[in-house]
Amino acid sequence: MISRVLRQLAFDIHIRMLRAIGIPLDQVAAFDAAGELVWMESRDPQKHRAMSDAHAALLRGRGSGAADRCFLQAELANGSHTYGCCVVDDADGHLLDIVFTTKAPARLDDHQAGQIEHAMTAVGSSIRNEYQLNKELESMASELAERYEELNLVFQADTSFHSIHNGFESLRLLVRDTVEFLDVGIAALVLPSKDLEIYDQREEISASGIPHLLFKIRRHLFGRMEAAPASVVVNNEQDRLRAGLPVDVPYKLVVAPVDSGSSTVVGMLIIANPSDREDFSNSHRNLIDVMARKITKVLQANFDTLTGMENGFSFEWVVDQALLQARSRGLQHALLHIDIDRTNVVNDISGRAAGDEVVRRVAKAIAASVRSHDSVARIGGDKFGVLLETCPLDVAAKLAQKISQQVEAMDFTWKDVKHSLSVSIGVAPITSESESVATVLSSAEVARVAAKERGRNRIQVYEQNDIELMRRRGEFRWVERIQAALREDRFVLFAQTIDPLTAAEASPHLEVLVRMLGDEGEIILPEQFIAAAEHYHLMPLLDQWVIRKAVEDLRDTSRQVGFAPMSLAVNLSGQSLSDERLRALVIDELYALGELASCLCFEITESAAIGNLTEAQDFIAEARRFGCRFSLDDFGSGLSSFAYLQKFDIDYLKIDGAFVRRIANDPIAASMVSAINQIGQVMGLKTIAEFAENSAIVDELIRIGVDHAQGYHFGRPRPLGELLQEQIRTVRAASG
Amino acid sequence: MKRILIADDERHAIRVLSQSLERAGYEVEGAHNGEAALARIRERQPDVLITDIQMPRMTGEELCQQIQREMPERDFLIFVLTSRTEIEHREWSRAIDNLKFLEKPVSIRRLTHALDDYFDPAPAAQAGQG
Repeated sequence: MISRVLRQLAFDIHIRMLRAIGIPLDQVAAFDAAGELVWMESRDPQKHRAMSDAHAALLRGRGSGAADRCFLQAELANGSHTYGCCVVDDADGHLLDIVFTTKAPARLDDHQAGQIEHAMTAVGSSIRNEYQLNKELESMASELAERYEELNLVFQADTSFHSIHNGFESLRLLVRDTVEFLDVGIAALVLPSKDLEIYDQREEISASGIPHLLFKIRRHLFGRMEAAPASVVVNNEQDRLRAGLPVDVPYKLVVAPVDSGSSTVVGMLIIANPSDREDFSNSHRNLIDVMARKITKVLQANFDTLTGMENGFSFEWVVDQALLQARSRGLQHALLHIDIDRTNVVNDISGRAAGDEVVRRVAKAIAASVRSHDSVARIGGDKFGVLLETCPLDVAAKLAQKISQQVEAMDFTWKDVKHSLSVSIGVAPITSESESVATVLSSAEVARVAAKERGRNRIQVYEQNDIELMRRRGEFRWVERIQAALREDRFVLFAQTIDPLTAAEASPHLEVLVRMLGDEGEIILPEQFIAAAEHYHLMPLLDQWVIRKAVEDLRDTSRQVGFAPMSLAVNLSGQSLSDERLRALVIDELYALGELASCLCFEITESAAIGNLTEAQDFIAEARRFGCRFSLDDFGSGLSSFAYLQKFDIDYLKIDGAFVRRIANDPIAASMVSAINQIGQVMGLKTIAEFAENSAIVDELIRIGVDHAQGYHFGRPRPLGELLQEQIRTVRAASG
Repeated sequence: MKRILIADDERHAIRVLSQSLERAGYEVEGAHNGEAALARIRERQPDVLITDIQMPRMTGEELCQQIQREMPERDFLIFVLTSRTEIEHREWSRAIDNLKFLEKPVSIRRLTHALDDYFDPAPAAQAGQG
C-alpha cells in the first residue's frame, strides 16, 4: 500500500511552491526507500538516469542506512552539485528521498544552503502529512470495500432466501456466499440435531481435512455454545486455549451459535482460515452473528420446530425437484404419505404434550427406517411425507412396512398410561408420467386414506388403474356432501314396519331408515352415501344425528298422541360401536328419554358386533338397563358362525335379505333361512326376515315359522313422524 | 496490463475501486465526470470502462451514447453502476453494445470474477460442497 500512497502524493505542487519562493531548482525527483523512482517532473529517460546517479551519490555521502540526517549535498562527477532531503514517517520509517539539482553551477554557499534546508524541511513535513492523510484514506477505502462485501453477502443471503423455496438449498447457498464474499478459506454450517454438515471452501484449500476440523469444533465447542450461546473468535494460541480447542486445530476461527428461533442452540456457523492468514476481526464476528440469524430464519420458514424436519412448504420443493429429475433422467422415485393413527385419542387422554411426544418419536422412527439420502418432512399435525429417491414401488412398500413395524414396536407410556401406536401409509410413484407435484401428493394421500379405511396400521400402494381408488376419488366428493348435509340438517328419517307373521302382536315394531336431501331437495338413498361415510369415518356423526332425531320424533309423537309400548329400531354402525364418545352420547340420550328409552331397539350388524366384540357386549349390557332391545342385523351375510350368537345378549335375529328374497324358488336359500330361524328359536330369539317383497315369500316365511317380516309386501318406508303417529293411534284405539 | 477507466464524481468510489482493482493486477485510471472520461477515452481506449450514471457535466448515459456514436467499432466492455432499485436504465442501455450493469455498492469479488471471466473466459473451477 505504501507505494500506492506515495504515487498519489502531489509532488508538483510542492515543487512549484519551492520555485515560487526563489529556490533555483532544476531537476527534481523522488525515490522511495528501496531506491525506486516514485516521481519525476521530466519524462526524459536520460534525465531519469542522471537523477538516479545523483541519488546514489547522496546515499554514499550519508553513510550506511541512516536516514537521520535530513538535508544532504554531494558533488557529482561532472563537478555539479546535487542536494536531497529525506522524508521519514513515525510509523512507516524512511519514506522518500527528494533529490534535486540547482540551476546555479557552483556549490551553494552556507547561507543559501541554510535557506534551502529550511524550505525543504517544511516541504518534507508537508509531504509527510499528505502521506499520512492519504494512507488514512486508503485504509478507509479498504475498510469500505470490506463492508461492501459484507453488505453484498447480506443482500445475497436475502435474495437466496426469497428465491429458493427449500431449506437445504438456501442453507447451502448461504454457506457458499459466505466463502465467496468474506474471502475466507472455509465456511461451514453444523446442525447436530439434523445430523447435517454443509461446508464450502476456497479452491486452494483441500476439502479432505474439513470433516475432521468440523468434528473437532463440534466436539469441543457445541456443548459450551448450547450452555452459553455466544460467538467465539480464535486468532492465536491463547484464544485457542481459552476456547478449549485441541492443538490439532491449526486454524483461525469465528464460530457463532445458530438457534432455532426459540433460544435453543441447534447448530454452529463457522468460518476458518489457515493460521498464516490475517486475524479475524470484530466485524467478521458481527457478520457471522448476522448470518447465523439468517440461518435461523431459513430454519424457521422451512423446518418444523417440533421434529426439526423440513415442513410441507419445503417438502413440496423437494418433490418438485424429484419430479423434474424423473422427467429429465427417466428416474422413478416413490412418495410415502404417513399418518399416525389415533393421535386424537392420545391428545384426549394424556394431553397435548403427550401427543407432541408421539409425533417426535414417530418422526425419529421414520428417519431411522429410511435411507440416508431420502427426505423426510412433517407435512401436517400428525402427517409425514417421505421422498424415496430412485426407488421402485416394491422397495418403497417394503420401507413403508419397516416404518410401520418400527412404530408398532414402540412402547409409548405417558404417565402410566400405555398407548399403542400405529401408522397408515400411502405409497405413490413419481415417474416421468406424473402430472404435477399436486397430483403426486394427492395420489399418496388417497392411498393413505384407503390404507386407513382398510383398518389402521396398513399400507396401501397407489396404482393409476386401481378402480377402488378411482371410486374413492369420487367418494371424496360425497364426503363433502355428507358433511354439508350434517351441517345443514339435510337428512330425513323414514321408517318401515316390521310385521308379525305368526301370533298377532299388540305393540308396533318399526325400523328407522335415513335419507339424504340433495341440493334440489331430491331424496338420496343410503346406498349412495353410506359407503363413503364408512370410508371416511363419518358413520358416528351420522348415527348420532339419526338417534337424536329418532328420539326427538318419538318424544314429540308421544306428547301429541300419548304413549304406547313399541319397538323403534335404529341402526348402530361398527364405527359408532368402537367410538367411545358416541357410545357415551347415546347413553346420555337414554337417560334423558326416561321410560321412552324402553321403546328403542338397536340394530347392530353381525360383522360390526363381531368386529367390536367387547365394545358391543359392554354397550348392550349398559343399554339394557334402560330397557332397550337389540337386533343382530344381516345375519347370515358375513362370516357368521352360530357360535358368536351366544356371545351377544340380544332379542331379535334379522335374517339377511339376500336369502329371504330367494326362498320362494331357491331350496338352498330356503334351507338357510330355515336353519337360521331354527337356531334363533332354540336360543329364544325372535326372528325377523328382511326383504319380504311379495306374498310368495311371505307364505314361505310363515311355512318356515319365522316370527316377523319386513318388506314391500307390508309397506314401503314412509316418513318416521307420520308412521309413528299412525301406529300409536292404532294401538291406543285397539286397546280402547 | 489491462487498463480500466473509472468515471465517477464521488472520489471515494474511485479510490475504493481503484485500490482493489490495482491489487488485483489492473492498471486503473479515474475520471471525475463524463466529459473527462470521454476525453481520456478519445486519447486512448481502455480495456474496460466502469461508469456511474449520475455525474455533473456529462452523465453516464450521455457518455455511453457519445461513445456509441463516436466509436461504433469500439470493443471495450462498459460496466454501468446502478443502485439495486434502479431498473429504468435498462431501457436506454439496450442501444449500447457490450454493456453490463454492476450493482452498488460494488462487490469487488463479484467484479473481479466478472473481469476474469471477460478477459480469460475459461470455465471457473467450482468449489466443492459437503
